[in-house]
Parts: sequence; C-alpha cells; structure tokens
Amino acid sequence: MGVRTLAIYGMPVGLMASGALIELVGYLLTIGVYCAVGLVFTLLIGLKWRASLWERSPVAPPASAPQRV
Amino acid sequence: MSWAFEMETLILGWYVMVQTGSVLLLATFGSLQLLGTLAAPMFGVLGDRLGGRTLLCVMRAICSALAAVLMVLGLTGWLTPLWVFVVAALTGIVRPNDLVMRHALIGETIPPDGVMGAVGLSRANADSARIAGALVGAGLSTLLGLGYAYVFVTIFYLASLALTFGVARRPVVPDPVEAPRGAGALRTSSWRELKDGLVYVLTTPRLLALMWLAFLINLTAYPVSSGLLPYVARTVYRADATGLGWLVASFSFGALLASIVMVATGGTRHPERTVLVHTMIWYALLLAFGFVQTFGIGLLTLLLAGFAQSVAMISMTASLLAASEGASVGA
Repeated sequence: MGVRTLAIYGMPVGLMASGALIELVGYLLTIGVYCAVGLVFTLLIGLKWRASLWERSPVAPPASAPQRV
Repeated sequence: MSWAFEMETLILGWYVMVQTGSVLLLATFGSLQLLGTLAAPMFGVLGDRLGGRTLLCVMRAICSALAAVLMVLGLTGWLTPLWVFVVAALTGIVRPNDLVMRHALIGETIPPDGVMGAVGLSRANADSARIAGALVGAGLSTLLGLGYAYVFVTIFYLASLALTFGVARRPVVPDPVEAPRGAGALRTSSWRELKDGLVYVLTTPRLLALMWLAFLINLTAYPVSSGLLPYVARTVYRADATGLGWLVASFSFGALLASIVMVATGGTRHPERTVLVHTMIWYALLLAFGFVQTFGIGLLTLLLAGFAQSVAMISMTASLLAASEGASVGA
C-alpha cells in the first residue's frame, strides 16, 4: 500500500504550478497546457507499456457468472 | 466523512478566493490540504501494519478537533485567511490519507472477484456524499455564514468518527523481524517494507505503468477538475458560492452515475484499456471545459468529465489492487 500512495504527490505540485501559471499566462493557456501534457503522456504511457496495459488477456468473469460452453 | 470533506473544501476554498482574490493563494490553500501526501507512504505502511480502522479513527478525531477550532474562530469573528491556512495545513497532514485507507480496507476485506464492484460501491458512496456535501456546504455558507456552517462540518466529522468505531477489527500483522519490539523495530520494518514495495513496483511493468499514469492524472487532471473550481466559478462564470457548489456537484454527479454503471455491470473485462481510454476522454472534456463560457454548458461538460474520471479511476484502483496481489505490504 505504501508505494501506491506516492502517486498522490503529483496533485499538490500540479495545483501550486497551476496557480502560478494562471497568474503568469492566464487561465485558458494553463488549462490548454495541462490537458495537452496529460493527453500526450497518457498516449506515451500506453505505447511504452502496450504489452502490459493494452494486450493483456481479459479478466475472467466471476465464478458465479453463467459460463458459455 | 465525504460530506464533511466536501463542505470544508468548498466553504474554505470560497473564503480564500473571496478574501484574497488570488488564484495563487487558492492553489496554496488547495496544496496545504494535500500536505499529508508527503507522508502518504508511511500512512499506507502504518495502515497495513496497525490496521485501517485504528488509523482512520485517529485521523478522523484530529479532523474533528480542527474543524471545531475553525467553528469557534468563525463564530467569534476572529477568523482570518492566515488561520484558514494554518488549520488547512494541519488537517492536510491527515486528510489525504483517508481515501487511501478506505481503499486499503477494501483490499483487506473483499475477495479479489468482488474488488471492482466494491471499489465502485465505495466511490458511489463517496460521490453521492460529495454532491450533497457541496450543495449543502454552499447553501449553509451563503445562508448562515462560515461559523454556523462549520457547526455542521464538525458534526459530520464527529459522526464519521463514531461510525468508524463500527469497522471490524483486523488482527495486527506480526512483525517478521525477530528483533525486540518497539518504535525502532516498527520503523526499521516499515522502511524495509516500503523499499520492498518500491522494488516490486519497479519490477512489475503493469504496476509501474499504472503508477506513472496515476501520478500524471494527479499532476494535471485533478487540479483542473477540483482545486481550481472556486477560481473558475468566481472569475469565468461570475457565480457565488452556490454556483461553485453546483460546479462541484455536477462533476461528482457524473462520477456517481459512472460508479452506479460500474457496480451494475460488474466493470470492464479490460480494466487497463479502460483506464487509458477514459483518461484521454477526461482530458479532452477538461480542455473543452476551459473554453466554455456558459454556466449551463460548463455544468454539462463537468458532468461528462466526472463520468469519464470515475470509470478511469475505478478501473485503475481495481487494476492496482489486482497487480499488487501477492506483493509485500509496502507495495
């Protein structure tokens, strides 16, 4: 559990940076930069770990679900 | 707990925005509320070691006491933005770990087959509380003022503490090291678990990819869809606290709809793909939200963004819990 919580570190950093950026370049440009960075890096993560994220076999349905024969 | 969190965030965020007029100070306030993320790994390991129930009780007792301080300051008219920052920093040390501990409790108590549904149900519960909390917080703050609104926040914190006493106790995990017990032994063991967890994450591609994605989302998506909303309400839409309440509630309502869909359908069979696709949809909707000037269309865009966010986050939480299965408690 400990290491998984490290992902939250991004939020205070992102929030502080957004406040400073809005005062510097304005609200619209800040939102544009944040969303563009988010979209590009999501795509990059999907490409780099394609085998682990995209090409994994589907999760088996619960045992209680009707099985096709 | 989510009622109190949401009321507190909305009431204080609006107070800081109105009193200071500075988006930088609003962002500082939002960041202070997340101060506990610095200690998040240790909270996670302590939760694994001592049990989520004990840790949740301590954290919620602290939140109740600090809310009572703000209530008194508000009622006596001594409240200033500086006090809000001080209390936000203290609350922020424990508050961000509450949701983490809630998810940890799910991992502890629900069998793997039911994790997706359980996470969805937990988020549906939190999202519905967020909708109500935001609307009630905005209404009370507008009608009664901050001091009286904080009477309700304090009551909700105390109620969540009382309810946490009802969570089943879990046996304490025995320390694998045969060294003498005490704070030193716990500290050494916890750091070792954290190190083992880090190694496990770094050597498990699926977990590493999801961790990077979670970090990216926290860095760039959540500030836009939550922390900056008081600024958007005041500057873009020229709305009051009630308008802010509607913006927050709209995002949470979308999230609630998604949680219900995920619980009803049992979730996706390709959770990792779902995370990627819905994260990209979420970003696209946030980008659109940035350009919307009409309040009604803004509400609709946030609702859709909340839906995409919830689908992505439920799938991510379930994937993270599944990918961490069999790992040391430090993962």
